[in-house]
Amino acid sequence: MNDVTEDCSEYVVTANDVLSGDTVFRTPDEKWVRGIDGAAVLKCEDSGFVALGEAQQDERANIVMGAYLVEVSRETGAIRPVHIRERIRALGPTVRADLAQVAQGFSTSEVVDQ
Amino acid sequence: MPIIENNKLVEDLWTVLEEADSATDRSMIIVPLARLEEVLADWPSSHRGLGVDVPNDVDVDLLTPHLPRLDIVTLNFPGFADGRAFSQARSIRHTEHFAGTIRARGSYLPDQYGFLLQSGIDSFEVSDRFPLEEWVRHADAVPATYQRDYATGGLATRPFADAGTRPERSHYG
Amino acid sequence: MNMHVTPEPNMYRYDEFDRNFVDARVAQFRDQVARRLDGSITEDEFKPMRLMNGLYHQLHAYMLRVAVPYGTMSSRQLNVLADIADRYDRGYGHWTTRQNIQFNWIKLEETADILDRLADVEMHAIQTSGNCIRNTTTDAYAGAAADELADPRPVCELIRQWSSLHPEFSYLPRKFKIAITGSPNDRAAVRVHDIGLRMQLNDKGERGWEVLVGGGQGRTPMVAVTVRDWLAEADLLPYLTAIMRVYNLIGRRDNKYKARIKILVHEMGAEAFAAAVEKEFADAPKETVEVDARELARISSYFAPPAWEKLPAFVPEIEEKKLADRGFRQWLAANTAAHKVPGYTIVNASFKPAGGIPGDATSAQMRAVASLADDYSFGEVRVTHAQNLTLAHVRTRDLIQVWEQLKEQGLAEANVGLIGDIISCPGLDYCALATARSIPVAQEISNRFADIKKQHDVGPLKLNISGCINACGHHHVGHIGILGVDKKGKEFYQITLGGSSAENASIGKILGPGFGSEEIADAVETVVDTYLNVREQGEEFLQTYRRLGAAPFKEALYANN
Repeated sequence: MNDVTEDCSEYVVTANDVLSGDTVFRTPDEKWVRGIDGAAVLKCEDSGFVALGEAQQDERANIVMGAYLVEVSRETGAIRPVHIRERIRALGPTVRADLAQVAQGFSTSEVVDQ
Repeated sequence: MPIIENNKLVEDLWTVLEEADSATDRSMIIVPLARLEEVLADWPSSHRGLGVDVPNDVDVDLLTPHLPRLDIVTLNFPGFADGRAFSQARSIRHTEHFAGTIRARGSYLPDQYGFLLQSGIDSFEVSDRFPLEEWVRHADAVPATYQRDYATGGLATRPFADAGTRPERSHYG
Repeated sequence: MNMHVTPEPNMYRYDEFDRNFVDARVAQFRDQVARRLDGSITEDEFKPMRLMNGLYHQLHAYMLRVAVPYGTMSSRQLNVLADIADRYDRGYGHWTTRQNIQFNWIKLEETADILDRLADVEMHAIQTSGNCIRNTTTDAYAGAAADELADPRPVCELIRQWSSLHPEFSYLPRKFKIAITGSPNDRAAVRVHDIGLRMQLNDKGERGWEVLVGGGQGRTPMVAVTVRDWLAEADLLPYLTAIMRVYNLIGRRDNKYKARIKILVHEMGAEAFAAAVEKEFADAPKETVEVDARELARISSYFAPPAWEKLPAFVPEIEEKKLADRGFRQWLAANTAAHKVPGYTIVNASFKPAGGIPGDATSAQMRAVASLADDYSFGEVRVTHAQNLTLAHVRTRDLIQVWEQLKEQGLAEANVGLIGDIISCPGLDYCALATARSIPVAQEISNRFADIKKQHDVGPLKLNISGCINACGHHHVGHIGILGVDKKGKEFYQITLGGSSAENASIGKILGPGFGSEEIADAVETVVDTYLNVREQGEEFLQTYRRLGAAPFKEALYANN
């Protein structure tokens, strides 16, 4: 472990829209979008938790539910969750390339081949 | 806390006795199950006004010999998803034919009110969170039941059909 | 076809009472949704309410599981499921191992409307999830199978009604599943259910039930134990009530993974558990026994046998086609089963195409099967435990037409009961609980065995895949089971061998270290090749495994490592 800021992980805030159930991400202007590419990327867990705390107001307002932080990487240029579960959640089922977020310009292999 | 009985708010006539309180010369008291035998030992047999509070993890068969001397049994819901007291109530009311009051305490929701009534509970200690009307309207949110022997308060049960006859068939919708 | 006729199948139909009941439940759910949205109740409070009405929240969206009671539905109902798939989902649904269907892309705001649409055709989503009594499942061949004692579905319906919105048993320690078989050959997996019921006939020809308790899969798989060899049918509901009450009162609630009844039975011991049930059964008043019998008679009248024709068992055209067409012959061998009436055959539509998603059905396929049911099977369809559909009463002489039409829909893969007929949970592609994907593994394995001739050479072999320890893909009872796990962010797959959910039920044993996602299909091929090398004449995979144990398979898989 070290304290160098540049080396700490990056996060986005995610939740689900109460009405539709859709996976949504917190944007820089504190709204919610379906595509992870619109998410605000937060440097280090501390700033992640600050943003999460603000996002939870929308849980109390019954707009979203189950907000949490997802670790992401930008190595490929796009914002992509580090863990496969979160990649599938963000981008859609790997077995139905025609569905979900994958249809909006992501490739199926991108979900898993990292 | 407010008490609902017969779909009305009523005055709570009962006092829950704490561990150390003396039971002597009192009435309209609810004692912890652990103290029931001790209190009953000094309780005149003609004397009414005694109740017991039963945790939801004890075998209510323990109560059976004492039920004729009790006027109220309180059952507990530590969380609304913990349904043990439904079966405790059913056993006391239906198997043991207890005719006194069975009161629910703890966390439960108006959505469960109908099931609570049907299981044999007839008194409800509730918080201020939901108004009386919210409880009452849930008593028969589903105004029918398949469990004839649980039906309370005018819930519909299936009318008897003669065996072997089948009702008029119709197309859907 | 110049005129399409929709027959009325002989199955349970709602009367006014049932209709009012389901309508009221939909209205109650609509009200619960409104209160969730206006903040009167929290998500934590709403969640058990929506689950008890079949609405989950999964990885991508809400998922609605619709009950197909004991797997029987009419063609009209199936057509409505297709309409729901198109209008409210993304054009498809998924048959479940408990004979239900689930839709993966549902919106909360539309759910009550879907339930209204279902209620129009006497369907619902009541108790398809939650810690309550779930859909009672049974033999998909009920009422048709040559080997059954009697049709178990009237008893299933009796239990459905008894368990629906049960005031005492809706907040159990954990979910509760009942399965019933009317045949000694168990196609309903009754030994791996919380309660299994096996129909018996005594010397006088009276019907009774063997009662098994405490089977199940999940983290702690167990085969059920018999608590009663013989229970008179009249005592069935009082006895089930006694089991449920004992479980509700003393089943563990301190740990969700130890809350199923199997743990209670295991920890108490089967004898002590049975004694507690017998005491409860003896103590409780039984004022409904007579009513139950009348209800059962009323329900049974709906399940009268369909108007079978008197037909010759031997149909020359079919025999000729069998000789001439290998594809047809393979399909007949795998996808059909013996019917109790001469001249009829039970037909399975396979939802397991090579490389496909096991159990997924498009709306077009649903409508096609509904239409086939109208034309060839009295308007009735079954969902099978293995995620396929069954047309239970097809005239043997119609088999060629039915086969041709199933082929057009991609539903005639001749693999039912073979290695391509994989049971798979949705896995990490859809499920919020999963730790690994299961569908891609199923796809790769079914592609490896896409050669139907090879599948037939291998013979009966059940391959089941779960994407996590909860075992929804029934890996514990697969002859070959695959369990997906997460190992430091990578998917890994463990192989178990020797499981069975049939009358000779057993829990599979882990073979050895797991395999990466790129190795698992090879490993399965190695297991199958090993079996082919060591089997004796006419010996099925499970028999070979039981004769030889794991040794030859371990040797083949791990010897070089």
